[in-house]
Amino acid sequence: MTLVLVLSGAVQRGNEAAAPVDITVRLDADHQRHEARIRDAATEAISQYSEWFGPPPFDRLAIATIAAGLEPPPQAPGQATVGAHWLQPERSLTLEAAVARAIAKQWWGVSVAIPAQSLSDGIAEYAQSRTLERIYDRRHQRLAYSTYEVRYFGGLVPWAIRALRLDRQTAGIGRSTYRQHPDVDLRDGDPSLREARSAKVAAALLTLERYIGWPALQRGLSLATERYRGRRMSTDDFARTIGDAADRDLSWFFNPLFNDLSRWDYGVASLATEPLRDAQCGAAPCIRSTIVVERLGNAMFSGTAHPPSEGFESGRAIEIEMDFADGQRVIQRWDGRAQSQTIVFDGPSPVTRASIDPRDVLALDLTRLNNTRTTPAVDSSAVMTWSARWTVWLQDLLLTHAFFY
Amino acid sequence: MIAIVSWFSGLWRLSTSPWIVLAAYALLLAITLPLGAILHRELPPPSRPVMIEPGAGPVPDYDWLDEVTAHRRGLLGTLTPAVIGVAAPFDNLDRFASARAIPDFAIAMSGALLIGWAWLWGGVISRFAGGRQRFFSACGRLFIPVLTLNIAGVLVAIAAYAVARLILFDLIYPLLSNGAAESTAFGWRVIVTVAMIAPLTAITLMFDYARIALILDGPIAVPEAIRVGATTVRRNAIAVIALVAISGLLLAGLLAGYGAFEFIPGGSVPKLDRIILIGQAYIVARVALRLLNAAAQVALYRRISPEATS
Repeated sequence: MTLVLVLSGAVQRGNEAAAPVDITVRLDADHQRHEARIRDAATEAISQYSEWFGPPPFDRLAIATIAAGLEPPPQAPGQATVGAHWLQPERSLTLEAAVARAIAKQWWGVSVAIPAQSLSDGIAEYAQSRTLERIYDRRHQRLAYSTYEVRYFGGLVPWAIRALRLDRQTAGIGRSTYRQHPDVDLRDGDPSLREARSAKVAAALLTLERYIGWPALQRGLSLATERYRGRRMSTDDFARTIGDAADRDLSWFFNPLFNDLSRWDYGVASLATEPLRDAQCGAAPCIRSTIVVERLGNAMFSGTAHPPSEGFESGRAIEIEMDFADGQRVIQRWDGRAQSQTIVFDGPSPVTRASIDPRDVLALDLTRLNNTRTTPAVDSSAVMTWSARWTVWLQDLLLTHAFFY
Repeated sequence: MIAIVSWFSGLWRLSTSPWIVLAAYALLLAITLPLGAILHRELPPPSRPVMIEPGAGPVPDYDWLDEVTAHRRGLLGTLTPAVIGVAAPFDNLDRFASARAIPDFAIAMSGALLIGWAWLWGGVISRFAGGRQRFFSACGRLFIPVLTLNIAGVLVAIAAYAVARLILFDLIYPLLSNGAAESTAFGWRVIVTVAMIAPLTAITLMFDYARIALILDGPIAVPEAIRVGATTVRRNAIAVIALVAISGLLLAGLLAGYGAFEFIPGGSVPKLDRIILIGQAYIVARVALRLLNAAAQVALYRRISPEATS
C-alpha cells in the first residue's frame, strides 16, 4: 500500500501577476521527509521563472513524486512529476534540480509546445541550473550549484562529499554527460542519448548567456514564451526569436547547433620562445614567442554570419590571452574559422602563458585541458592533493582486502 | 567477559610493541607510494586558475577531474570524487558489499601485500604471544606455511563470496526488491548483505585462528592448523564474535573521526599538508586496529587453546 501525503501552500507569482500560485504536493510514502525541500525549490523556481520567462502558465501546480529512475508520465498543464530518492543529503541538491527541471517544463514543453525534445529538455536543464545556484547560495552562503553526491549500496545510500562543490557552468548543465557523447546529434531521437542532447542545448544556452549577456538571452526566452504560448515552436523559431531579442543574427551559432553534427573544440597547440640573435629590444635582447592556437572541432565559433572576404577575418568571438614574464597581458581576438592561427611576438620579455577562451565563454568547448599552455609549469599543489587522496583510497582498498588474510 | 579481557590484553600487547604498527605501515607505504607517484605524473596541470580561500587549500575542480579521467582506464580510471576523505573507505566497503569490479592493479597490489603480511605474521604473532624468538627470525621461519595458509584462506573466501553473491544478490535480492519502495529495498539489502558477510567472516576467523595455531603451536601441518582454527571458532563462538564486534565498532568510530576531521571547521577544503597528515593518520589507525584485533585474538587463543585444540 502506498501512503500519499497531500500538502498545500501558495507562492506569489512574478512581477506581472498578483494572484498567488497554489502548490499541492502529493508525496510518495518514502518521500514525506522531503516536503519542505520540494516546496522550497518549487517556490524558488516559480518565482524565478515568472521573472525570467513571463507569468506562470498555471494557476495551481500539483507536484507528485515517484521513485527515482522511473519514467515520469508526460507533463500536463499544472502537473509536475518528480523522481526522488528515499534518502537525499541536505547538501546535494539533486532533488531540487528535479523539481526545478519539472517546473521549467511547464513553460517549455507544456505552455509552449516544442516538438524537438532536446530543445525543451535543454532549456529546462539550463533554467534549473540558474535556480539551483540561488537555492544553494541561500542555504549555504556559498556560490555553487550543488555538492557532489555519490551513492552506495546499490544506489540506496547517498553521501555528499562536502569538499566537492559543483558549479553551475559545468555540473549544472550536465557538462560531464555532454563530454561523454561529443558527437551527439540534436536531430537524433535515440532515447539513451536524451540527457546528452539536453546537456548540449544547455551548454549552448550558457554559451549565449556569456556571449550576448544574460539580459539579452533572458529577453529572448521571455519573447519566445510570449510569441509561442499555446503554439508550437520549432528550433528555427527559437533561434530567430533569440536573435530578434538580441538584435543580431545568431544563425552562425544556431545553424550548426541544430542542423549539423557539430563539435566545438579549440586549443593552444604550442607555446615556444627563442632568443633572436643580433636583435635588441630596447636595452635587452629580443625574444621571439610563438603561439599556435587551433580549431580541433568541425564547428566554428566566429561571432558573425558574414563570411570572411579577401583574406580578412570576419568575426572576433574567440579570445586569446597571453601573459608575459614582465607582467604584461595581451588579449587578441580570432574569428575561429581557420584550422589554426599563429601569433608571434618579438620583445624583451617572453610569453609565459597562452590561453584560448580564458573566460570559458564557449561552454560548448569539449576539451578545456588544451585551452591553456604555461611555461614553466604551474604550481601543482592542486594536482598533488588529488594524488594524495588517491593514495589514501588505494591504501584503504588494500587494507579492506587484507580482511581476508 | 573473556572477549573484553582478551581485548584489553591485546591492547597491552600492541602498546608494548608499537613499532610493529610502523613496520606494517611501512610495508603498505612501500607498495602504494610508487603508484601514487605514477598517478601524479600522469595528471595534467589544472585547466583553470585554482580557487583558494584564505587559510584553506585548493578547491577540488570536478570539471578538470572529469575531463582528465573521461574514457580512461588503469590508475586514472579509478581517480573519482569518491577518493575524497571518508568517501574513500565508504567506496571500498561498498565495492566489496556491492561486488563492484576491482581494478587489475589493485588485485596485483593486494597479492603483493598478502605476501608481505605472510612474512610479517610470523614475527607479529610470536611477539604478541610473548615469544622470545627474534622478530625477523620468526618472520622468515614461518613465511612459507603462513603464505600457504593465507592463499588457502583467500581462495576459500573468494569461492564462498562468489557463490553467496550469485545466490543472494543475483537471484534473491532482485526478487525481493523488484517494485519495492527504496526504504523496503534497503531493508532487504541489509538482510542479504548480512547473510553474505556472515559466512565470509566465519571463514576469515577460522583462518585467523588457524594462523595463530600454526605459529604458536609449533610445527603443525596447514590442514591441522585449519582444523584447530575451525574448532576454536566453533567452541568459542560468542567470544570470537564479540572480538569481531569490538573491532567493527572501533572501525566505525575511526570512520566517524576521519569524517569529522577531514574538513577545516566551517566547511573549507584543507591544505595539502593537512590532507596528507589526516589521511595517513587514518591509514596508520586502520593498520593499528588490524594489529590490535590480531593481538586480541592471540590473547583469546592463549586463554582457550588447551580446550580448543583438544
